[in-house]
Amino acid sequence: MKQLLRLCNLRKSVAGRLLFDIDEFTVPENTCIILSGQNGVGKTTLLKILAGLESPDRVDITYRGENLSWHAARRRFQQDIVYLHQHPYMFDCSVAENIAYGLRHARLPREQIQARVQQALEWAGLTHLAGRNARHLSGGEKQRVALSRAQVLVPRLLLLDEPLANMDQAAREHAVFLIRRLKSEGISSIVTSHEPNIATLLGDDHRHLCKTGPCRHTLVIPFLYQRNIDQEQRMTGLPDRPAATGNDLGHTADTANATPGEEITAVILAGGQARRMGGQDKGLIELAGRPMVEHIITALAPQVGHLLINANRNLERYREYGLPVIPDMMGDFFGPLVGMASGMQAANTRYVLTAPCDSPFVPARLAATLYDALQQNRAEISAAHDGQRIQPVFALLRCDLLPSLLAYLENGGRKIDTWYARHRLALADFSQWPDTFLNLNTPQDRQALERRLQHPASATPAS
Amino acid sequence: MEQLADASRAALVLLFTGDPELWSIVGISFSVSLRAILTAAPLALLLAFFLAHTRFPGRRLLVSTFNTLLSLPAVVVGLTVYMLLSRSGPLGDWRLLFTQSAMVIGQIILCFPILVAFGHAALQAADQRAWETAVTLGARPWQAMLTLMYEVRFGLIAAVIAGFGRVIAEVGSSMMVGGNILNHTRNIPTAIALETSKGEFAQGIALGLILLLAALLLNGLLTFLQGKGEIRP
Repeated sequence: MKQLLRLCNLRKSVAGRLLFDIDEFTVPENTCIILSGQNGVGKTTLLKILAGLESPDRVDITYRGENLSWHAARRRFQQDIVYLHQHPYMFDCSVAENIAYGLRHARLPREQIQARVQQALEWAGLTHLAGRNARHLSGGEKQRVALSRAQVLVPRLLLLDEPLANMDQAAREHAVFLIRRLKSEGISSIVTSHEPNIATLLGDDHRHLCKTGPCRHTLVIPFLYQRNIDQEQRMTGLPDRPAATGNDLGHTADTANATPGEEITAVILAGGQARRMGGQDKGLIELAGRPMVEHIITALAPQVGHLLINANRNLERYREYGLPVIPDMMGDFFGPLVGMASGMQAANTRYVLTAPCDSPFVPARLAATLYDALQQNRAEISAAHDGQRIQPVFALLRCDLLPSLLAYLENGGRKIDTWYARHRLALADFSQWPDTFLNLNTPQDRQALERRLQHPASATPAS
Repeated sequence: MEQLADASRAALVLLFTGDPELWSIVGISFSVSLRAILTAAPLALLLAFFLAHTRFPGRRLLVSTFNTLLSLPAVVVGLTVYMLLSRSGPLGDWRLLFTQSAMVIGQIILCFPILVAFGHAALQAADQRAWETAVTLGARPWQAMLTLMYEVRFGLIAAVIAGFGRVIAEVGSSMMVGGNILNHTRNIPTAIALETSKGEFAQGIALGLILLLAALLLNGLLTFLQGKGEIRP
């Protein structure tokens, strides 16, 4: 895809504090990018820099194939890119005059301005309001005036800051319709939003501005999950599947012939804070010479069609496995449910299978057992049960539960069990594979796991 | 009290019989003050804009200075301009003392701080989004500035009217640098001062009434303009 804009080494401080430091941010032509991220992470500031309304501390810009200094780029941005405020500002004049504002500064002949304003009014369904003072309109109508005031200028890029916030359903639908229409007219856009499902409504591409260190913010590309690329990467990117680990529990024989592996995306949950491990990134802790995450990738790869890693730190390290790496779509370490939701959103399959990154003894029939339980019970979720209690992080979920999960998360819910209780839940019996649930919580666990890995004979029964 | 009533009655007679001397005084007053305010306003409002929308060292000091100058006494301005324009003063060669131009200069100095301070207050209260919206829609900085001024026009008009109110009614500066010469530099306030000192209250009251009437008209105009600018939900 042709590139419209590329910013490298973008740094911005506000009041002496580093707000973000982004290595690279590219905007392709003809694309709608969703930009997500927590409050205060700098989404609005990033958009204002792109609009030439604020200046960064430093940046290298390539705009339409030209390398430009900030000084030169700023004027181009102001002319070619339109920024829309979350609450659009209406000039104190009629709707038609508001829409004509940019055209008048472009010094077009009067008749042409009138014709284009007329078109824009029709485009946004505002013809009946043309003569009204724009300040008297409702929030949704103002948003439409702002959209058509921008559309009439045919900008190269449109920056929409929370365009759907504080709107009722009808107004939202109208706004979504117009934003989609802009794309079909060849106008690229960047949309910031807190709504996790906006990506499915609008976006071609999703970027997440997140904090990966005390003051360093990076822009990651979490949802570039494309099946063909993914498959290719899986071929080349996965570590070799050694016989020595993972599959040594004697269940390798029939790897789920009835399981539609292609319909399952496994989400490896590596997004935790690991407080009991002193904040180390669990997935990257070495066990028998290989990072934990590698053990589980090896175990899961033959069972499912697709793999994703949900991680919030060390994203570059995780990406080395050639798998899509997805940070949490919201919050600061909000727990495994958010990781699950992020995985469900990214997956293109009917089901997601979730497993923690620190369980190296996943049985070869994990997917098959969960799937069978789900089918037999006609359930929406099936979760592993170790004979004594439920192990909710090992689960198979239908991806169409995403809206329910998002609603639960948005209302502040964080507990897996509570959310599971809202749906038909099947329990899959894993009592024959107790090692499945051995994991890493303390440094002592690591030694125990390592011993277990080297002496598989002592593995069963579990202590 | 009876004296005041008699004088008022005489004043009304003067007003409605079109006494040429009285109307010449009124004409000079408005001509001088309008010239002063029209000269000062563009520059003062531009300065107000820069004070409100740019950041530079000493900005706040400058804002406080203009706020302080709001209470600048007219006689002090008169004295200063007199010293500058008098024959021996640094600008004596301009030969402006006791002319209308000298009065205009004095009044410019008097209304300038009002225009800057009130204009700054109005522009400072403008919505930051107005500027950003204008710029992102392709307006050049000066065009965006005019847009912003249009958006806060009621505040700016109020500043201009306040400035005009001050200069049309001031007596100290006009008296000192104009010299109160009939048909040349005698304006309403200086005329009132003179007539009062002569005991001619009727003409003083007539002129005072005209000043009040002018104030009423200006405020009526402002209210009319702001009629559409009420606070809206």
